[in-house]
Amino acid sequence: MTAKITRLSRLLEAATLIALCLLPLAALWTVASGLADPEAVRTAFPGLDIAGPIPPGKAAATAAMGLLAALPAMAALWYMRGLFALYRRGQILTDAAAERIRRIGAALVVLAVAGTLLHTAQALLLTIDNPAGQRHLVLSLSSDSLGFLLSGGLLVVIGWAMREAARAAAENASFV
Amino acid sequence: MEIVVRLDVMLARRKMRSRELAEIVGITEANLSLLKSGKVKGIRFETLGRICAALECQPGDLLEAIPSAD
Repeated sequence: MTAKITRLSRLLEAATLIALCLLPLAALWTVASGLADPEAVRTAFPGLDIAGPIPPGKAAATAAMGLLAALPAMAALWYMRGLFALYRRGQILTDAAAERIRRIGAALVVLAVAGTLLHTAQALLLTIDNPAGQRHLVLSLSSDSLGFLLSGGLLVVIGWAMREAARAAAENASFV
Repeated sequence: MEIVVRLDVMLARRKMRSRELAEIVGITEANLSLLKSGKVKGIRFETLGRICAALECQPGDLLEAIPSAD
């Protein structure tokens, strides 16, 4: 079983490392496309009534706000990479692995909350120049955010449980 | 009370080396050394049984309860 964990972890460590490199590039691409075609932002917020043309600066600022959501995602990927590195080295039931699982969960919870709040802020920024009465304050909980929230919470609890498992494993190791 | 391991005494009586006992019991020499020095939290019944079989003795020959120092 340990050999299987080691093999798959090596693969997933490489995959998370690649994702860590690609995520900032994708985020920068989003900002750049916001600058190149400000009207593309309008399609990203279909339910929003944005009056007049969107200035490139505002489009870029909206895209840049979306970038903030990439930070907890990158943190989650970073801790995942660390967790897979530990598993690759055979350090499975350890405090370090349990702590990384807990941190991945915490990062996903932050991602869910940040995603929701940033969407609200982006909608407000895009409609701030609308005439009075037509500005939008949107507060929505998407299925993605709910998924991240629940899976993040689950991982935090699993992280705590794994800490107990690590303690039990350490005690077991001290028996001959 | 404190439990003291008297494995070294039994090894000497049976004129057996630690390495030999470790091989028979199926544990590492390092673990046997830890057991001899009492630096383990416990011993599994399975290990105790194998040591007793190898040294032809009873658990009471290997473990002794003595009053604690404090």
